Amino acid sequence: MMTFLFFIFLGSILGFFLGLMPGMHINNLLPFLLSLLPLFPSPLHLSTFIASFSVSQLISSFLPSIFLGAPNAETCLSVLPGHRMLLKGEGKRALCLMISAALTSSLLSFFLISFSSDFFRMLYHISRPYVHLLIIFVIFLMLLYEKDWKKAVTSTLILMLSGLFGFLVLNSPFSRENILFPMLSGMFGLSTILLSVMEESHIPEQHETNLNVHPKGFLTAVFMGCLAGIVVGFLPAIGVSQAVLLIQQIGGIRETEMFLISLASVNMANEIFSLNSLYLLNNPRSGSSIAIQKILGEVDLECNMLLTSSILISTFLASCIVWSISDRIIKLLEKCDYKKLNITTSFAIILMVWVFTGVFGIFILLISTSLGLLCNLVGAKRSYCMGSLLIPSITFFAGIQPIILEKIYA
Amino acid sequence: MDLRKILMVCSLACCVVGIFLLYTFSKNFTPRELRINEVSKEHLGETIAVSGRIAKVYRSKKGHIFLELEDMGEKLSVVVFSNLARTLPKDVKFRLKEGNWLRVIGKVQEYKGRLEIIPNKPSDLQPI
Repeated sequence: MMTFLFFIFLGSILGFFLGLMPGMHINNLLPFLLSLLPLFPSPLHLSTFIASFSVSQLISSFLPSIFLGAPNAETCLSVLPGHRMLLKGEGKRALCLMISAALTSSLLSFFLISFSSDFFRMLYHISRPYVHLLIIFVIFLMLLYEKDWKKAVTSTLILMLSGLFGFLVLNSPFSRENILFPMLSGMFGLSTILLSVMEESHIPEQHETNLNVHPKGFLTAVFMGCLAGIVVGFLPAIGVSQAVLLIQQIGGIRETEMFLISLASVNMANEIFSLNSLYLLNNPRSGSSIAIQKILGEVDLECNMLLTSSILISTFLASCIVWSISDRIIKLLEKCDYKKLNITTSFAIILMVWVFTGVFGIFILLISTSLGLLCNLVGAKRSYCMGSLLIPSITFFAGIQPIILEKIYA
Repeated sequence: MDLRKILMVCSLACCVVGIFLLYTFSKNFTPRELRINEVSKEHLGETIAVSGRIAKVYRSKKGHIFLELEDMGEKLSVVVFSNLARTLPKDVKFRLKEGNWLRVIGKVQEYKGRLEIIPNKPSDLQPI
């Protein structure tokens, strides 16, 4: 038992450090982690280590997304609202909201997965033929909420441009596994940082934390986030960010705070579902669950309970670590030259993109950063850049992707 | 013209030129021609072309077509998902039979420890 706790603790600590590095993801390290099997007392020990690592990395990635504006694929949408709160002196509150949501979501997700997995399976089979219609409906709602027709037109143009960009990138023969990293880092991270540098923004003194949200609103956002996170687990072509946009429009989530809460919940529920999918569906849904399947083969109830416990323990541990160092990070940020920090972060993102995706990634980063800048400069909401994932999803679910590819590349 | 306007024009130009270049590079891409026994894990994620004799064909209830290509005793799975299978021309569908020869262009992926190749448009399957 103590050895299991030791490896859960170790996984949580290492996952925490990995989450702090922009662009780093556990998937990049899985081949290395799998090679460590001989060093572990049993395959189950390595599996609990990977599960803890994965969850802890997700929670600590909230820190760079809020304080540095440097996202990964899961937290890209949190950059703008989180960063906005930081520039208003509410960075710690943004972090507190995301951690509270992740903790609540972890408990609620287990409850929902245990009692309603059959319902979700049925929902998946019923909804799958109509997913593209649902996404079109969400886009329509997003445009409908625009204040005037001029904004609606510019937003539509940004959506179409990013849709075309996303479709070409995701179906390019040059694309590799990590291509979402330069795509999303440019649109949501690097472009925001460049604007901060241009506008010479600085971090004001951060206020003391007060959650200051209505419990009912908080729980609703967490509940909707959990539902969306689990449904995303069933639908392979829909990602966490698309799910957040879906619940934002359908659930009428408008406030920055509720958006961050639902984003953290979707991420957490999706992570938990992915790790449970081995037992529930015998079908891995994430890099970590593929690795666990390789190590364990089949996952029985006992293994699943052990993995579940390790997820819960590491969620709690990672949340405590992130929370306890947040004060130090804020003090550091308040003291340091924010412009220099932004420039350093930009270089870190460019370096990571080059390491993981090479020259093609740098090329994609250049286009996606221009797209993010353009979106901001024409005054459109940055969520329209998500067209880069929404439009390819529509073509995939409508079954027209091969026809379009044949037409444009013939 | 103020700085914001200059930046806006530059961003738009960079987007349009970048997307055009991306399209041109992808359109003119020539996949590496490999023999089945040369395909290994180091090609994961890469788009390659392989040729072989169809050793096995299985059509699932959901409309996916699973092929097994064979060349010099080595085998490689080819997965044609239902979205693509539906759009295949009739003559190609007709020639997806055991014993026929096929050239496939697609991404190398790993599923349950086995390498497979995933074509994504009808012209990626070329009966020889």
